[in-house]
Amino acid sequence: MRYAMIGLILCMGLYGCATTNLPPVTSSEFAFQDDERRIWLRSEEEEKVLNNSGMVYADKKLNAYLDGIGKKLQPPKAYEKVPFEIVVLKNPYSNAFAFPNGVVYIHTGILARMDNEAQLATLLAHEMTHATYRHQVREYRGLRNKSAVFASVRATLGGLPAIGGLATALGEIGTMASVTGYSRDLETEADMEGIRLVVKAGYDPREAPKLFQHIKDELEEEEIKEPFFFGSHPKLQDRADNYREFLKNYDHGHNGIVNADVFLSKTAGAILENAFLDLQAGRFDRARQGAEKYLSVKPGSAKGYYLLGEICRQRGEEGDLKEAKEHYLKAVKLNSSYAVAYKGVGLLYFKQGEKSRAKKAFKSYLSRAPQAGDRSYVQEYITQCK
Amino acid sequence: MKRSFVMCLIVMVLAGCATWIRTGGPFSAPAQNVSADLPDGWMRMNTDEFLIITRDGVLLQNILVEKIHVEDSLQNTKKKFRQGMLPQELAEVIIDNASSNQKMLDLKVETNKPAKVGGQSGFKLVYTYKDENGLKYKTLYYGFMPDEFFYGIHYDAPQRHYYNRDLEAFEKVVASLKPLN
Repeated sequence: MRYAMIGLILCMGLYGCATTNLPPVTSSEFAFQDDERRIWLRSEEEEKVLNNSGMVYADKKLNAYLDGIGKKLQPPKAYEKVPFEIVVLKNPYSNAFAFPNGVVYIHTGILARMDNEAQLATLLAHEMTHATYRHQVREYRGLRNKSAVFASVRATLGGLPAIGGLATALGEIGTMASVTGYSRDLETEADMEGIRLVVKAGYDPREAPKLFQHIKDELEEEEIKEPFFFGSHPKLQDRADNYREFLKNYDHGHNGIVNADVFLSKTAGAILENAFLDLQAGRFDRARQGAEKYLSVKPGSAKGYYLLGEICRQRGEEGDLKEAKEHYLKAVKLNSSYAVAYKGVGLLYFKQGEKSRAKKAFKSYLSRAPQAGDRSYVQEYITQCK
Repeated sequence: MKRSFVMCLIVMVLAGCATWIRTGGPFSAPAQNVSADLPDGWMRMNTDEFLIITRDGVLLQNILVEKIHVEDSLQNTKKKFRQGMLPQELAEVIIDNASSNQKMLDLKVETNKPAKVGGQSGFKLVYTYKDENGLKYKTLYYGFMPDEFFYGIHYDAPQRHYYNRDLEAFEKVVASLKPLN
Protein backbone atom coordinates (compact mmCIF):
# COMPACT_ATOMS: atom_id res chain seq x y z
CA MET A 1 0.00 0.00 0.00
CA ARG A 2 2.78 2.35 1.01
CA TYR A 3 4.78 1.57 -2.18
CA ALA A 4 1.66 1.94 -4.28
CA MET A 5 1.09 5.36 -2.75
CA ILE A 6 4.69 6.42 -3.39
CA GLY A 7 4.38 5.16 -6.98
CA LEU A 8 1.19 7.13 -7.44
CA ILE A 9 2.76 10.28 -6.06
CA LEU A 10 5.77 9.80 -8.38
CA CYS A 11 3.46 9.38 -11.38
CA MET A 12 1.51 12.48 -10.38
CA GLY A 13 4.74 14.40 -9.97
CA LEU A 14 6.07 13.30 -13.34
CA TYR A 15 2.76 14.10 -14.95
CA GLY A 16 2.78 17.50 -13.29
CA CYS A 17 6.26 18.20 -14.64
CA ALA A 18 5.16 17.22 -18.12
CA THR A 19 2.21 19.61 -17.98
CA THR A 20 4.23 22.55 -16.73
CA ASN A 21 6.87 22.18 -19.41
CA LEU A 22 4.72 23.25 -22.35
CA PRO A 23 6.56 26.03 -24.20
CA PRO A 24 4.83 29.35 -24.86
CA VAL A 25 3.17 29.87 -28.24
CA THR A 26 5.99 32.14 -29.37
CA SER A 27 8.57 29.38 -28.90
CA SER A 28 9.99 27.56 -31.91
CA GLU A 29 9.15 24.33 -30.08
CA PHE A 30 5.46 25.18 -29.94
CA ALA A 31 3.12 22.48 -31.22
CA PHE A 32 -0.63 22.55 -30.78
CA GLN A 33 -1.75 19.66 -28.56
CA ASP A 34 -4.88 17.55 -29.11
CA ASP A 35 -6.38 18.33 -25.71
CA GLU A 36 -5.52 21.98 -26.25
CA ARG A 37 -7.49 21.95 -29.50
CA ARG A 38 -10.49 20.50 -27.67
CA ILE A 39 -10.21 23.17 -24.98
CA TRP A 40 -10.15 25.87 -27.67
CA LEU A 41 -13.25 24.41 -29.32
CA ARG A 42 -15.01 24.30 -26.01
CA SER A 43 -13.94 27.87 -25.30
CA GLU A 44 -15.60 28.98 -28.53
CA GLU A 45 -18.86 27.38 -27.41
CA GLU A 46 -18.68 29.05 -24.02
CA GLU A 47 -17.89 32.39 -25.63
CA LYS A 48 -21.03 32.11 -27.77
CA VAL A 49 -23.15 31.81 -24.63
CA LEU A 50 -21.39 34.79 -23.07
CA ASN A 51 -21.65 36.88 -26.23
CA ASN A 52 -25.41 36.18 -26.43
CA SER A 53 -26.05 36.92 -22.77
CA GLY A 54 -26.75 40.61 -23.41
CA MET A 55 -23.72 41.55 -21.33
CA VAL A 56 -21.30 42.60 -24.08
CA TYR A 57 -20.61 46.35 -24.13
CA ALA A 58 -20.40 47.32 -27.79
CA ASP A 59 -18.18 50.31 -28.56
CA LYS A 60 -16.09 50.01 -31.71
CA LYS A 61 -13.75 52.88 -30.79
CA LEU A 62 -13.08 51.40 -27.36
CA ASN A 63 -12.50 47.96 -28.90
CA ALA A 64 -10.03 49.45 -31.40
CA TYR A 65 -8.22 51.20 -28.53
CA LEU A 66 -7.99 47.98 -26.51
CA ASP A 67 -6.87 46.06 -29.56
CA GLY A 68 -4.13 48.68 -30.12
CA ILE A 69 -2.83 48.20 -26.57
CA GLY A 70 -2.90 44.43 -27.04
CA LYS A 71 -0.79 44.74 -30.18
CA LYS A 72 1.70 46.98 -28.37
CA LEU A 73 2.08 44.32 -25.69
CA GLN A 74 2.28 41.13 -27.68
CA PRO A 75 4.62 40.49 -30.62
CA PRO A 76 3.08 39.67 -34.05
CA LYS A 77 4.32 36.12 -33.56
CA ALA A 78 2.00 35.70 -30.58
CA TYR A 79 -0.94 37.08 -32.57
CA GLU A 80 -0.23 34.56 -35.34
CA LYS A 81 -0.76 31.74 -32.89
CA VAL A 82 -3.38 33.31 -30.61
CA PRO A 83 -5.82 35.66 -32.39
CA PHE A 84 -6.41 37.97 -29.43
CA GLU A 85 -9.73 39.76 -29.09
CA ILE A 86 -10.62 42.00 -26.16
CA VAL A 87 -14.29 42.20 -25.19
CA VAL A 88 -15.83 44.48 -22.56
CA LEU A 89 -18.63 43.08 -20.41
CA LYS A 90 -21.31 45.19 -18.74
CA ASN A 91 -20.64 44.18 -15.16
CA PRO A 92 -19.99 46.60 -12.28
CA TYR A 93 -17.72 44.26 -10.31
CA SER A 94 -13.95 44.21 -10.84
CA ASN A 95 -12.78 41.29 -12.90
CA ALA A 96 -11.07 40.27 -16.14
CA PHE A 97 -10.26 36.88 -17.59
CA ALA A 98 -8.90 35.24 -20.74
CA PHE A 99 -9.96 32.17 -22.64
CA PRO A 100 -7.12 30.04 -24.03
CA ASN A 101 -7.97 31.06 -27.62
CA GLY A 102 -7.11 34.65 -26.78
CA VAL A 103 -10.52 36.18 -26.09
CA VAL A 104 -10.00 38.46 -23.10
CA TYR A 105 -13.07 39.71 -21.22
CA ILE A 106 -12.85 42.86 -19.10
CA HIS A 107 -15.66 44.07 -16.86
CA THR A 108 -16.71 47.70 -17.08
CA GLY A 109 -16.33 47.66 -13.28
CA ILE A 110 -12.55 47.31 -13.37
CA LEU A 111 -12.20 49.74 -16.30
CA ALA A 112 -14.12 52.32 -14.29
CA ARG A 113 -11.75 51.96 -11.34
CA MET A 114 -8.50 52.26 -13.30
CA ASP A 115 -6.71 55.58 -13.70
CA ASN A 116 -4.68 55.18 -16.85
CA GLU A 117 -3.50 53.12 -19.80
CA ALA A 118 -0.47 51.76 -17.94
CA GLN A 119 -2.78 50.06 -15.43
CA LEU A 120 -4.93 48.73 -18.23
CA ALA A 121 -1.84 47.42 -20.03
CA THR A 122 -0.79 45.62 -16.83
CA LEU A 123 -4.14 43.87 -16.65
CA LEU A 124 -4.17 42.96 -20.34
CA ALA A 125 -0.59 41.73 -20.31
CA HIS A 126 -1.37 39.47 -17.36
CA GLU A 127 -4.48 38.01 -18.99
CA MET A 128 -2.83 37.61 -22.40
CA THR A 129 0.06 35.76 -20.79
CA HIS A 130 -2.37 33.14 -19.52
CA ALA A 131 -3.14 32.44 -23.19
CA THR A 132 0.37 32.67 -24.64
CA TYR A 133 1.84 30.55 -21.86
CA ARG A 134 -0.99 28.05 -22.32
CA HIS A 135 -1.98 28.13 -18.68
CA GLN A 136 -5.41 26.65 -19.23
CA VAL A 137 -4.21 23.46 -20.86
CA ARG A 138 -1.47 23.14 -18.26
CA GLU A 139 -3.90 23.63 -15.40
CA TYR A 140 -6.61 21.59 -17.06
CA ARG A 141 -4.36 18.56 -17.44
CA GLY A 142 -3.92 18.52 -13.69
CA LEU A 143 -7.61 18.94 -13.07
CA ARG A 144 -9.20 16.95 -15.83
CA ASN A 145 -10.23 14.17 -13.52
CA LYS A 146 -11.69 16.58 -11.07
CA SER A 147 -14.86 17.59 -12.83
CA ALA A 148 -16.60 17.41 -9.47
CA VAL A 149 -14.44 20.34 -8.41
CA PHE A 150 -15.85 22.40 -11.28
CA ALA A 151 -19.35 21.22 -10.58
CA SER A 152 -19.15 22.24 -6.95
CA VAL A 153 -17.47 25.55 -7.72
CA ARG A 154 -20.05 26.46 -10.34
CA ALA A 155 -22.88 25.40 -8.08
CA THR A 156 -21.75 27.77 -5.36
CA LEU A 157 -21.11 30.74 -7.61
CA GLY A 158 -24.61 32.12 -7.30
CA GLY A 159 -23.89 34.06 -4.15
CA LEU A 160 -20.71 35.74 -5.29
CA PRO A 161 -21.42 39.32 -6.26
CA ALA A 162 -17.95 39.79 -7.68
CA ILE A 163 -18.81 37.85 -10.81
CA GLY A 164 -22.16 39.51 -11.19
CA GLY A 165 -24.31 38.31 -14.06
CA LEU A 166 -21.54 36.09 -15.32
CA ALA A 167 -22.15 33.33 -12.84
CA THR A 168 -24.51 31.32 -14.91
CA ALA A 169 -23.21 32.27 -18.33
CA LEU A 170 -19.79 30.75 -17.76
CA GLY A 171 -18.90 27.20 -18.66
CA GLU A 172 -16.04 25.21 -17.18
CA ILE A 173 -13.29 27.00 -19.09
CA GLY A 174 -14.70 30.40 -18.24
CA THR A 175 -15.13 29.39 -14.63
CA MET A 176 -11.49 28.43 -14.39
CA ALA A 177 -10.37 31.62 -16.12
CA SER A 178 -12.55 34.06 -14.26
CA VAL A 179 -13.33 32.53 -10.92
CA THR A 180 -11.17 29.72 -9.66
CA GLY A 181 -8.03 31.08 -11.30
CA TYR A 182 -4.78 29.20 -11.75
CA SER A 183 -2.18 27.80 -9.44
CA ARG A 184 0.06 30.20 -7.58
CA ASP A 185 3.00 29.40 -9.90
CA LEU A 186 1.04 30.11 -13.05
CA GLU A 187 -0.40 33.36 -11.67
CA THR A 188 3.10 34.46 -10.67
CA GLU A 189 4.32 33.57 -14.16
CA ALA A 190 1.51 35.69 -15.66
CA ASP A 191 2.41 38.57 -13.33
CA MET A 192 6.11 38.42 -14.15
CA GLU A 193 5.83 37.89 -17.90
CA GLY A 194 3.02 40.44 -17.98
CA ILE A 195 5.06 43.14 -16.29
CA ARG A 196 7.99 42.36 -18.61
CA LEU A 197 5.68 42.98 -21.59
CA VAL A 198 4.42 46.19 -19.98
CA VAL A 199 7.96 47.54 -19.66
CA LYS A 200 8.92 46.36 -23.14
CA ALA A 201 5.92 48.23 -24.57
CA GLY A 202 7.19 51.38 -22.84
CA TYR A 203 4.59 51.63 -20.06
CA ASP A 204 5.38 52.73 -16.53
CA PRO A 205 5.35 49.57 -14.38
CA ARG A 206 5.02 51.63 -11.21
CA GLU A 207 1.30 51.84 -12.03
CA ALA A 208 0.93 48.05 -11.73
CA PRO A 209 0.55 47.79 -7.93
CA LYS A 210 -2.16 50.47 -8.05
CA LEU A 211 -4.43 47.96 -9.77
CA PHE A 212 -4.41 45.95 -6.57
CA GLN A 213 -5.27 49.00 -4.53
CA HIS A 214 -8.38 49.48 -6.66
CA ILE A 215 -9.42 45.87 -6.08
CA LYS A 216 -8.66 46.22 -2.37
CA ASP A 217 -10.92 49.28 -2.27
CA GLU A 218 -13.77 47.29 -3.78
CA LEU A 219 -13.31 44.48 -1.28
CA GLU A 220 -13.50 46.94 1.59
CA GLU A 221 -16.57 48.66 0.16
CA GLU A 222 -18.33 45.35 -0.38
CA GLU A 223 -17.06 43.94 2.92
CA ILE A 224 -15.79 40.81 1.16
CA LYS A 225 -13.46 38.93 3.50
CA GLU A 226 -12.17 36.21 1.18
CA PRO A 227 -12.98 37.20 -2.38
CA PHE A 228 -13.28 34.57 -5.08
CA PHE A 229 -10.53 36.20 -7.08
CA PHE A 230 -7.97 35.47 -4.42
CA GLY A 231 -9.46 32.38 -2.85
CA SER A 232 -7.31 30.12 -4.99
CA HIS A 233 -5.07 32.70 -6.62
CA PRO A 234 -2.10 33.83 -4.63
CA LYS A 235 -3.50 36.18 -2.03
CA LEU A 236 -3.86 39.86 -2.77
CA GLN A 237 -0.70 40.64 -0.83
CA ASP A 238 1.31 38.01 -2.72
CA ARG A 239 0.24 39.44 -6.04
CA ALA A 240 1.19 42.95 -5.00
CA ASP A 241 4.52 41.58 -3.73
CA ASN A 242 5.25 40.07 -7.16
CA TYR A 243 5.14 43.54 -8.66
CA ARG A 244 7.06 45.15 -5.83
CA GLU A 245 9.83 42.58 -6.26
CA PHE A 246 9.99 43.45 -9.93
CA LEU A 247 10.03 47.16 -9.21
CA LYS A 248 13.04 46.77 -6.87
CA ASN A 249 15.18 46.19 -9.93
CA TYR A 250 13.42 48.73 -12.08
CA ASP A 251 15.17 51.94 -13.05
CA HIS A 252 13.08 54.58 -11.30
CA GLY A 253 14.71 57.37 -13.27
CA HIS A 254 12.95 56.16 -16.39
CA ASN A 255 9.54 57.62 -17.16
CA GLY A 256 7.29 55.18 -18.91
CA ILE A 257 4.00 55.80 -20.68
CA VAL A 258 1.01 56.40 -18.38
CA ASN A 259 -1.55 57.94 -20.77
CA ALA A 260 -4.19 58.94 -18.24
CA ASP A 261 -6.00 61.43 -20.50
CA VAL A 262 -6.22 59.13 -23.51
CA PHE A 263 -7.40 56.27 -21.31
CA LEU A 264 -10.15 58.36 -19.73
CA SER A 265 -11.40 59.76 -23.02
CA LYS A 266 -11.50 56.29 -24.63
CA THR A 267 -13.16 54.58 -21.68
CA ALA A 268 -15.56 57.41 -20.74
CA GLY A 269 -18.60 55.71 -22.30
CA ALA A 270 -17.90 52.47 -20.44
CA ILE A 271 -17.40 54.40 -17.20
CA LEU A 272 -20.83 56.03 -17.61
CA GLU A 273 -22.46 52.71 -18.49
CA ASN A 274 -20.87 51.19 -15.42
CA ALA A 275 -22.12 54.02 -13.22
CA PHE A 276 -25.68 53.22 -14.35
CA LEU A 277 -25.04 49.55 -13.44
CA ASP A 278 -23.77 50.59 -10.01
CA LEU A 279 -26.92 52.65 -9.56
CA GLN A 280 -29.04 49.63 -10.51
CA ALA A 281 -27.20 47.56 -7.91
CA GLY A 282 -27.84 50.29 -5.33
CA ARG A 283 -24.13 51.08 -4.98
CA PHE A 284 -24.84 54.80 -4.81
CA ASP A 285 -21.35 55.96 -3.82
CA ARG A 286 -19.68 53.99 -6.60
CA ALA A 287 -22.26 55.24 -9.08
CA ARG A 288 -21.54 58.80 -8.02
CA GLN A 289 -17.78 58.33 -8.36
CA GLY A 290 -18.31 56.91 -11.84
CA ALA A 291 -20.59 59.77 -12.89
CA GLU A 292 -18.13 62.36 -11.57
CA LYS A 293 -15.22 60.64 -13.30
CA TYR A 294 -17.18 60.68 -16.55
CA LEU A 295 -18.03 64.36 -16.11
CA SER A 296 -14.36 65.15 -15.54
CA VAL A 297 -13.82 64.04 -19.13
CA LYS A 298 -17.15 65.19 -20.59
CA PRO A 299 -18.12 68.23 -18.50
CA GLY A 300 -20.82 69.23 -20.98
CA SER A 301 -22.71 65.97 -20.81
CA ALA A 302 -26.39 66.28 -19.93
CA LYS A 303 -26.51 62.51 -19.43
CA GLY A 304 -23.77 62.70 -16.79
CA TYR A 305 -25.68 65.32 -14.79
CA TYR A 306 -28.94 63.43 -15.28
CA LEU A 307 -27.24 60.37 -13.75
CA LEU A 308 -26.09 62.42 -10.75
CA GLY A 309 -29.69 63.60 -10.39
CA GLU A 310 -30.96 60.01 -10.52
CA ILE A 311 -28.43 58.86 -7.92
CA CYS A 312 -29.56 61.59 -5.50
CA ARG A 313 -33.30 61.09 -6.18
CA GLN A 314 -33.12 57.31 -5.80
CA ARG A 315 -30.97 57.41 -2.67
CA GLY A 316 -33.39 59.91 -1.13
CA GLU A 317 -31.35 60.82 1.94
CA GLU A 318 -31.33 64.24 3.61
CA GLY A 319 -30.45 66.96 1.11
CA ASP A 320 -30.48 64.53 -1.80
CA LEU A 321 -33.67 65.79 -3.41
CA LYS A 322 -32.46 69.38 -3.45
CA GLU A 323 -29.20 68.27 -5.03
CA ALA A 324 -31.03 66.04 -7.50
CA LYS A 325 -33.00 69.03 -8.73
CA GLU A 326 -29.81 71.03 -9.28
CA HIS A 327 -28.34 68.22 -11.37
CA TYR A 328 -31.48 67.75 -13.45
CA LEU A 329 -31.67 71.48 -14.10
CA LYS A 330 -28.01 71.53 -15.08
CA ALA A 331 -28.71 68.69 -17.55
CA VAL A 332 -31.60 70.67 -19.04
CA LYS A 333 -29.40 73.76 -19.29
CA LEU A 334 -26.71 71.80 -21.11
CA ASN A 335 -29.12 70.13 -23.49
CA SER A 336 -32.66 71.47 -23.65
CA SER A 337 -33.82 68.48 -25.71
CA TYR A 338 -32.62 65.92 -23.14
CA ALA A 339 -36.07 64.60 -22.26
CA VAL A 340 -35.56 62.42 -19.18
CA ALA A 341 -34.07 65.27 -17.19
CA TYR A 342 -37.46 67.05 -17.39
CA LYS A 343 -39.12 63.94 -16.01
CA GLY A 344 -36.67 63.96 -13.09
CA VAL A 345 -37.54 67.58 -12.35
CA GLY A 346 -41.25 66.76 -12.69
CA LEU A 347 -41.04 63.87 -10.23
CA LEU A 348 -39.36 66.06 -7.62
CA TYR A 349 -41.95 68.84 -7.96
CA PHE A 350 -44.75 66.28 -7.98
CA LYS A 351 -43.62 64.72 -4.72
CA GLN A 352 -43.17 68.17 -3.16
CA GLY A 353 -46.77 69.06 -4.10
CA GLU A 354 -45.74 71.80 -6.54
CA LYS A 355 -48.27 70.62 -9.06
CA SER A 356 -48.21 73.39 -11.66
CA ARG A 357 -44.40 73.18 -11.94
CA ALA A 358 -44.58 69.39 -12.02
CA LYS A 359 -47.18 69.48 -14.78
CA LYS A 360 -45.05 71.85 -16.86
CA ALA A 361 -41.99 69.62 -16.48
CA PHE A 362 -43.92 66.45 -17.33
CA LYS A 363 -45.39 68.08 -20.41
CA SER A 364 -41.91 69.16 -21.48
CA TYR A 365 -40.80 65.56 -21.06
CA LEU A 366 -43.59 64.07 -23.14
CA SER A 367 -43.28 66.69 -25.87
CA ARG A 368 -39.63 65.68 -26.26
CA ALA A 369 -40.20 61.94 -25.84
CA PRO A 370 -43.71 61.21 -27.14
CA GLN A 371 -42.99 57.47 -27.36
CA ALA A 372 -41.51 57.21 -23.84
CA GLY A 373 -41.93 53.79 -22.27
CA ASP A 374 -43.27 55.35 -19.07
CA ARG A 375 -45.74 57.63 -20.85
CA SER A 376 -48.72 56.15 -19.04
CA TYR A 377 -47.23 56.94 -15.63
CA VAL A 378 -46.47 60.50 -16.65
CA GLN A 379 -49.91 61.05 -18.13
CA GLU A 380 -51.39 59.91 -14.85
CA TYR A 381 -49.18 62.38 -12.95
CA ILE A 382 -50.38 65.16 -15.26
CA THR A 383 -54.00 64.17 -14.60
CA GLN A 384 -53.35 64.30 -10.87
CA CYS A 385 -51.83 67.78 -11.23
CA LYS A 386 -55.15 69.30 -12.32
CA MET B 1 -34.56 37.02 -7.17
CA LYS B 2 -36.88 34.51 -8.68
CA ARG B 3 -34.36 31.87 -9.75
CA SER B 4 -32.53 31.94 -6.41
CA PHE B 5 -35.85 31.82 -4.67
CA VAL B 6 -36.93 28.76 -6.64
CA MET B 7 -33.69 26.99 -5.77
CA CYS B 8 -34.22 27.80 -2.08
CA LEU B 9 -37.71 26.48 -2.39
CA ILE B 10 -36.52 23.21 -3.87
CA VAL B 11 -34.01 22.83 -1.06
CA MET B 12 -36.73 23.52 1.52
CA VAL B 13 -39.03 20.96 -0.04
CA LEU B 14 -36.27 18.36 -0.21
CA ALA B 15 -35.43 19.07 3.39
CA GLY B 16 -39.05 18.46 4.33
CA CYS B 17 -39.51 21.98 5.69
CA ALA B 18 -42.50 22.87 3.57
CA THR B 19 -45.88 21.40 2.88
CA TRP B 20 -47.83 21.61 -0.36
CA ILE B 21 -51.63 21.80 -0.09
CA ARG B 22 -54.14 21.61 -2.91
CA THR B 23 -55.88 24.92 -3.66
CA GLY B 24 -59.37 25.99 -4.71
CA GLY B 25 -61.49 28.99 -3.74
CA PRO B 26 -60.92 31.79 -1.23
CA PHE B 27 -57.74 31.73 0.79
CA SER B 28 -56.40 34.10 3.43
CA ALA B 29 -52.69 34.53 4.05
CA PRO B 30 -52.36 36.49 7.31
CA ALA B 31 -48.56 36.61 7.05
CA GLN B 32 -48.89 38.43 3.72
CA ASN B 33 -51.99 40.31 4.96
CA VAL B 34 -53.96 39.43 1.82
CA SER B 35 -56.77 37.19 0.68
CA ALA B 36 -57.41 35.89 -2.84
CA ASP B 37 -59.37 33.29 -4.78
CA LEU B 38 -56.91 30.58 -5.73
CA PRO B 39 -57.47 28.41 -8.83
CA ASP B 40 -58.77 24.87 -8.47
CA GLY B 41 -56.31 22.03 -8.64
CA TRP B 42 -53.11 24.02 -8.03
CA MET B 43 -50.80 23.44 -5.10
CA ARG B 44 -49.91 26.09 -2.55
CA MET B 45 -47.23 26.56 0.04
CA ASN B 46 -47.11 29.50 2.41
CA THR B 47 -44.59 30.66 4.96
CA ASP B 48 -44.10 33.91 6.86
CA GLU B 49 -42.18 35.28 3.87
CA PHE B 50 -44.31 34.28 0.90
CA LEU B 51 -47.28 32.42 -0.52
CA ILE B 52 -46.57 30.44 -3.66
CA ILE B 53 -48.88 28.41 -5.87
CA THR B 54 -48.15 26.23 -8.88
CA ARG B 55 -49.97 23.74 -11.02
CA ASP B 56 -47.18 21.72 -12.66
CA GLY B 57 -44.16 22.66 -10.56
CA VAL B 58 -42.48 25.94 -9.64
CA LEU B 59 -40.08 25.83 -12.58
CA LEU B 60 -42.96 25.50 -15.05
CA GLN B 61 -45.22 28.16 -13.58
CA ASN B 62 -45.64 29.83 -10.24
CA ILE B 63 -47.59 32.65 -8.69
CA LEU B 64 -45.92 34.27 -5.74
CA VAL B 65 -47.29 36.75 -3.22
CA GLU B 66 -44.84 38.58 -0.99
CA LYS B 67 -44.84 41.39 1.54
CA ILE B 68 -41.64 43.38 2.07
CA HIS B 69 -41.04 45.94 4.82
CA VAL B 70 -39.20 49.18 4.00
CA GLU B 71 -36.37 48.11 6.32
CA ASP B 72 -35.94 44.75 4.58
CA SER B 73 -33.01 44.22 2.24
CA LEU B 74 -33.66 42.96 -1.25
CA GLN B 75 -31.77 40.02 -2.61
CA ASN B 76 -29.85 41.52 -5.52
CA THR B 77 -29.77 45.30 -5.20
CA LYS B 78 -28.79 47.36 -2.21
CA LYS B 79 -31.72 49.66 -2.93
CA LYS B 80 -34.65 49.55 -0.52
CA PHE B 81 -38.28 50.54 -0.67
CA ARG B 82 -39.17 53.82 0.97
CA GLN B 83 -42.56 54.77 2.31
CA GLY B 84 -44.29 57.21 -0.03
CA MET B 85 -42.65 55.91 -3.19
CA LEU B 86 -44.69 56.38 -6.34
CA PRO B 87 -45.74 53.21 -8.20
CA GLN B 88 -43.20 54.03 -10.90
CA GLU B 89 -40.45 54.21 -8.28
CA LEU B 90 -41.55 50.87 -6.82
CA ALA B 91 -41.36 49.33 -10.29
CA GLU B 92 -37.90 50.86 -10.69
CA VAL B 93 -36.69 49.04 -7.56
CA ILE B 94 -38.19 45.75 -8.76
CA ILE B 95 -36.56 46.10 -12.20
CA ASP B 96 -33.19 46.95 -10.67
CA ASN B 97 -33.42 44.03 -8.28
CA ALA B 98 -34.16 41.68 -11.19
CA SER B 99 -31.47 43.25 -13.41
CA SER B 100 -28.88 42.75 -10.68
CA ASN B 101 -29.82 39.07 -10.31
CA GLN B 102 -26.94 36.87 -11.41
CA LYS B 103 -29.27 34.14 -12.57
CA MET B 104 -31.49 36.25 -14.77
CA LEU B 105 -29.66 37.03 -17.98
CA ASP B 106 -30.58 39.40 -20.80
CA LEU B 107 -33.49 40.94 -18.90
CA LYS B 108 -35.82 43.05 -21.05
CA VAL B 109 -38.76 45.10 -19.81
CA GLU B 110 -41.75 44.84 -22.14
CA THR B 111 -44.38 46.73 -20.15
CA ASN B 112 -44.19 49.12 -17.21
CA LYS B 113 -47.35 51.06 -16.42
CA PRO B 114 -49.69 52.07 -13.60
CA ALA B 115 -52.29 49.57 -12.44
CA LYS B 116 -54.86 49.13 -9.70
CA VAL B 117 -54.08 46.14 -7.50
CA GLY B 118 -56.28 45.17 -4.57
CA GLY B 119 -57.95 48.55 -4.88
CA GLN B 120 -54.62 50.33 -4.50
CA SER B 121 -52.56 52.37 -6.95
CA GLY B 122 -49.68 50.26 -8.10
CA PHE B 123 -47.79 49.09 -11.15
CA LYS B 124 -47.91 46.38 -13.77
CA LEU B 125 -44.60 45.13 -15.08
CA VAL B 126 -43.83 42.55 -17.74
CA TYR B 127 -40.27 41.43 -18.38
CA THR B 128 -38.45 38.54 -19.98
CA TYR B 129 -35.11 36.99 -19.15
CA LYS B 130 -33.05 33.88 -19.86
CA ASP B 131 -31.97 31.35 -17.29
CA GLU B 132 -28.50 29.77 -17.20
CA ASN B 133 -29.52 27.26 -19.87
CA GLY B 134 -30.78 29.94 -22.22
CA LEU B 135 -34.44 29.13 -21.54
CA LYS B 136 -36.54 32.27 -21.88
CA TYR B 137 -38.89 33.11 -19.01
CA LYS B 138 -41.56 35.76 -18.78
CA THR B 139 -42.75 37.48 -15.62
CA LEU B 140 -45.86 39.54 -14.99
CA TYR B 141 -45.47 41.54 -11.80
CA TYR B 142 -48.01 43.68 -9.93
CA GLY B 143 -47.00 45.70 -6.90
CA PHE B 144 -48.28 48.42 -4.57
CA MET B 145 -47.31 50.06 -1.33
CA PRO B 146 -50.11 51.43 0.86
CA ASP B 147 -48.00 51.84 4.02
CA GLU B 148 -44.58 50.73 5.18
CA PHE B 149 -45.01 47.40 3.41
CA PHE B 150 -44.59 46.67 -0.28
CA TYR B 151 -46.96 44.02 -1.63
CA GLY B 152 -46.00 42.11 -4.75
CA ILE B 153 -47.80 39.42 -6.69
CA HIS B 154 -46.12 37.93 -9.71
CA TYR B 155 -46.41 35.16 -12.20
CA ASP B 156 -43.34 33.53 -13.71
CA ALA B 157 -43.21 30.84 -16.40
CA PRO B 158 -41.21 29.76 -19.46
CA GLN B 159 -42.31 32.11 -22.22
CA ARG B 160 -42.99 29.34 -24.69
CA HIS B 161 -46.18 27.37 -24.05
CA TYR B 162 -46.49 27.83 -20.27
CA TYR B 163 -46.69 31.61 -19.89
CA ASN B 164 -49.84 32.13 -21.96
CA ARG B 165 -51.45 28.93 -20.76
CA ASP B 166 -51.87 30.02 -17.15
CA LEU B 167 -51.93 33.78 -17.57
CA GLU B 168 -55.71 33.96 -17.23
CA ALA B 169 -55.61 32.01 -13.96
CA PHE B 170 -53.07 34.52 -12.63
CA GLU B 171 -55.13 37.55 -13.68
CA LYS B 172 -58.12 36.08 -11.81
CA VAL B 173 -56.01 35.72 -8.67
CA VAL B 174 -54.87 39.36 -9.02
CA ALA B 175 -58.45 40.56 -9.56
CA SER B 176 -59.55 38.82 -6.36
CA LEU B 177 -56.62 40.02 -4.24
CA LYS B 178 -57.60 42.11 -1.21
CA PRO B 179 -55.63 43.37 1.78
CA LEU B 180 -56.97 41.81 4.99
CA ASN B 181 -56.85 45.07 6.92
